[in-house]
Amino acid sequence: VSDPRRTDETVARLAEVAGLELSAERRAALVLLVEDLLDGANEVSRLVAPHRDLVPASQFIHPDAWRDAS
Amino acid sequence: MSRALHELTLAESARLLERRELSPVELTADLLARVEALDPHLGAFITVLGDDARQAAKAAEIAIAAGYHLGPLHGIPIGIKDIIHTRGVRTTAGSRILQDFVPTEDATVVARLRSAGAILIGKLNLHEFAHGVTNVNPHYGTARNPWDRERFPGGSSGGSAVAVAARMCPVALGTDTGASVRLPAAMTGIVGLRPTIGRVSNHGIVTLAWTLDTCGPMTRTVEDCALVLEAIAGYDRQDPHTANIPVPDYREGLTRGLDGVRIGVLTDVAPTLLQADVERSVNEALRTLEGAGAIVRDVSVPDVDQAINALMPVDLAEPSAFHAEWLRTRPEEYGDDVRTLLEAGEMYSATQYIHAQRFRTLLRDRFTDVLRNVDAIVMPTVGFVALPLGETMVRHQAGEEPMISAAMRHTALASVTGLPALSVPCGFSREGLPIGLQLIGRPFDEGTLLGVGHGYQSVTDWHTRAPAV
Repeated sequence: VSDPRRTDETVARLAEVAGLELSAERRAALVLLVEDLLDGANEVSRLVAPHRDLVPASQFIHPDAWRDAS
Repeated sequence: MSRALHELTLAESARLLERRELSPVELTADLLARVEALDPHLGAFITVLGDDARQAAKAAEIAIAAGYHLGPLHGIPIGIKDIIHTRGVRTTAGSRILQDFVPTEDATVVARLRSAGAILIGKLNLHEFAHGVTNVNPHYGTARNPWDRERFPGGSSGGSAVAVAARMCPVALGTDTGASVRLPAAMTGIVGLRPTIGRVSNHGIVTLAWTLDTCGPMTRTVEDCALVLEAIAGYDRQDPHTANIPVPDYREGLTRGLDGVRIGVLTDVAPTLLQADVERSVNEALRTLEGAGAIVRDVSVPDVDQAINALMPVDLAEPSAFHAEWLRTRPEEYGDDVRTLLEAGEMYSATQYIHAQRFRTLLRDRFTDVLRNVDAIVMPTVGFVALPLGETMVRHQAGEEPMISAAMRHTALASVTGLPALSVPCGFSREGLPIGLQLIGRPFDEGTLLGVGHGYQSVTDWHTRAPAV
């Protein structure tokens, strides 16, 4: 689970790099949300790590790719 | 005629219109009068197309009288979610940023509906830019649930759901990225279909997330849903993601019945994450399907609980990419909640996004494996009933959790995998709020889902119940 202080620093740094202006109030709201989101994303990253042959879904979104699955 | 015109389904009106026992002018006038009476209290419409609709109805009447009947949608009033382009009619996407945007051409789905003779009655309210699940909209007002006006209708296609549930139009179009057709359909007691990605064109629809967006019908009956899907589905050279796969006669497929249909019950989501009334209604629906001849058995899809975690990076980062310029130049024009989500989408790393897309492939393969042995996978559409306005937490048998994750726990499965999913009404809570049953099917096999859904509606009457508006 993320450390809230680290999440706060991460949000501040990412916002600065992205050129987003965040007030302290907006940053606080964002930290609460982002903590859970990043934990969830990391869990998914951990799950797919062993599957080296997996391609991103952006490949299968093309209709031709459905034919193998249907 | 014993029933009020607004109570007629699309299919019922179509039969009367074809036989010239009902005039499109009369039907349109009746529905416009209902919109005028009810919508100030329900907030389903952003724009009502009264004059245009009356003119189109007159033209339909003349054409049908002259023997030019175009099919079941000819002369049928339809509502369109206001994120779908309509030529010459402003399309706000529920936003202040696009408040004056007037498209110069119709979205493909709108063009196809017009070609089929449908009458556009209005543009329907939504969560701003379809980026949220409540339909609380700071710019155009909150769409209210007709079963209890002090509750959310669900979103983002909340206006479409409210308009259909309150009988202001028999049919509406919605869009579904993470839940946006199915969730409001379940919470207002109507039918909603998310088609397979690539089945229906997204050309001319304001983007939320490129690899998740779909457009689908919202109706009171599965039969009506089939009629609308048939009109809008199919390859569109203007949308490279549409598949060049023939569109079947969905109405013909409705007659197959439930006998021998193989239903898989997804057991991987803990029942404790459901409200007790939802669990009870879904179990009762399974018994009903079994009683009507379906073969019901448990199925399991590993890691299905991670679908929501794979959905979020895609469902947040892609909108943030689409809105990147406006977020930097006009941030104050967004509602607070949408602005926060757009900012949150910028916090993911590129590798997290790609891993989420890779997980989608993994889960799609697991679902399609299971779907080789069953015709549909069944679960609740959403684990809780419509919440009071302002509520942000959901209470279920396991405790309490934030609405956003609870709202998309079950709908995320079809969004992540790209598979088609149908929500049909399957009961009511003790407070009288609707509950939805979700069926997920094989890619491009919407016909089987519609057949099961129609079979279910043939032996139940949940879809015939109307809110007291």
